[in-house]
Amino acid sequence: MSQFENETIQKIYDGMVAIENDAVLSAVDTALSDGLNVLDVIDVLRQGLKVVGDDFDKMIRFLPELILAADLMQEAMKKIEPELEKQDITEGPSATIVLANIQGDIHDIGRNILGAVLKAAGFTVYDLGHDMKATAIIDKAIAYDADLIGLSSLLTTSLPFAEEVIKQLGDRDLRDKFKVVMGGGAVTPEYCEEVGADAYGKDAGSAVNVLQGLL
Amino acid sequence: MLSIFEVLKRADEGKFIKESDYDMKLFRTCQKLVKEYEIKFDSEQIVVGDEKMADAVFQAGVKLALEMGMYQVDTSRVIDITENEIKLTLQVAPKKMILGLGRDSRVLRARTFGDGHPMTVCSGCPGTPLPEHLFLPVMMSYAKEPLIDILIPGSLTEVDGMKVKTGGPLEIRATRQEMIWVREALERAGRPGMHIYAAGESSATELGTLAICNDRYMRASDSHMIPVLSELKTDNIRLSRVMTGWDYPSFTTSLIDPIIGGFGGGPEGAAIVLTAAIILSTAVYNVDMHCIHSIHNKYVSVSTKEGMWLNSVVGRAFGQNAPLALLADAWTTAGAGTEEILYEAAALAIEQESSCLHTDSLGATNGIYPNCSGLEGRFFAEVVHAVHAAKMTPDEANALLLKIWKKYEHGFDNPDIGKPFNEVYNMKTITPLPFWLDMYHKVKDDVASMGLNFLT
Repeated sequence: MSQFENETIQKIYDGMVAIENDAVLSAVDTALSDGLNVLDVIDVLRQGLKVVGDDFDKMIRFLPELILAADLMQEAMKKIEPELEKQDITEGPSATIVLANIQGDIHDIGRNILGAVLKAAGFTVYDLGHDMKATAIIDKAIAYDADLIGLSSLLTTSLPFAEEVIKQLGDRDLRDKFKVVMGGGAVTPEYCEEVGADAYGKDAGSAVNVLQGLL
Repeated sequence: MLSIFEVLKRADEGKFIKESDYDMKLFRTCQKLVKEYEIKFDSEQIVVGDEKMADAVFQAGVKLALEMGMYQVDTSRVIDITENEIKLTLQVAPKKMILGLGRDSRVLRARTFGDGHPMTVCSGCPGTPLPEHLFLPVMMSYAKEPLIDILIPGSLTEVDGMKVKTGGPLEIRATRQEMIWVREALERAGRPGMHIYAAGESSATELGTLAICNDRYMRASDSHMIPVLSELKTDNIRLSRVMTGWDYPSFTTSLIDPIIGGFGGGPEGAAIVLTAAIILSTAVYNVDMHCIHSIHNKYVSVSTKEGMWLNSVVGRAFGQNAPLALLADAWTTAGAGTEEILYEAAALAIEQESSCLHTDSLGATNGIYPNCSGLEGRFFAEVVHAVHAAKMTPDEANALLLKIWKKYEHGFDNPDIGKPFNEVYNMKTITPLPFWLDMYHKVKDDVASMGLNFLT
């Protein structure tokens, strides 16, 4: 059953829910050439992506599908961005975050989930990968002009390196430039408070609200 | 089993594939195998009695191991193994080991259904961060429990007030101090020969393992752990641990953490991944036993229905097809000093004892807080022995488990993390405080009223 009056919008939605790249990208092309409202196009992409995210929460769909859907959203946004610029429209939270697993920690999966969820929510995400030294994380945050630094660790013995990020931000007079959020299996709210992080992210699902609250 | 040299050769010369492509191939293959073998998670049948489905999981796992091989992330190459190598590996893998020394030694068996032996109960606080002042008393609380057969250490997170950092020099000191204190705990409890499982828990790298390869720390009768990275992956750090164990005589165990909802898919796909990982790590790591630890993508805990089902079906799969010594982690959402942790312990004990598994200990609060103690370890072991004595069928065990599930299911979204060790135990006598002991008796009476006859 159709949910949308416009056939192209319906195709974008159906394609996002089914994670069909060709269908979505070609429908976005059609929408742009037909002069549909770009904000409506972005909104329907998000609605489709939200279905995938909700299915992931219910364990109906899984991490690879969440990643593919988030990547598809980004591909579609690349097509839409020139039109946004042309029309001088600012869209989304306009926040940039660098994500990293801190030095010594090589557990990617939690960070992958978070990256996909944040992309879906409209954040610009730079995933720096795992086993990242504090200096490199900060250098990348500067290079990408990030607003937020997200640090993840599953290992208790890697947590001191998260503290090092906050310490170095202070030493380099950059503490006010970035909000630092921490999460991952070894991180607790008490730890975040102890080391002076700006927020604790319990899981990917709650992270969007936490980050938006910081902006 | 392959020689470590053959493994290193394949890790350097195997076929190249990008890690993201390997991950997606794994997902697609698992999806295909779940359909092909008609594997289905049933939230009302947590203790799996379906022999056909267990066989299907085993066969699908073999296929996945053959299709994927083990991925070496540092070389981006696949360590492939052949069907004959799998057969030989499973044939020669240890079926019976004597762990520990003298009167404190215990037999660890590759369990099969109806073999008449209960599980070997390992207890301790794996992965749990313990500060210096708590380490020895916490370990003593486990060592003092007579039903606990083997001991796994917690992680010492500081040395002389300095925080231990992954890959740093303090990992060496921390793992050595860990072993000194665990040994002291065992001596004080009059059990000096008890097996120390997964020695070197305070280090996430090969440094810790290398640091304790000495009779003063890790004996030939102890074991150390070699993790498989999720999913089906290894790297130079893990292979260095394999090399460490190659010519050091202690036992070795894998650690496998399939993620339910991750690249394997749901519980069904994760079961296939776990089966493949057990096979691959037996061949590639040449380990004697396995620590299996399913991770729920939302709640982490093993005590979820999905986590327990996964353990149960994989335990049965190997018990029926290729018995190996499998020790399942039993990580709980709740912490010491709560009723919930005791109910979670009971459910996990029922599931594991009924599924050809041993246990690799409770991990209170999913190993995040030092809110753990020997008392919940005692309760776990008591449930194991009661279930074994009752000779429960899978259906009977499942019915009891589902009753207990209702007592703790509310805790996943808002867990009660309980209290740290020093608030549930007397720190001088290393005995449970009265409120914690009363809680234990109350829950034990409740579980008994559900139909479980405790032996003591």
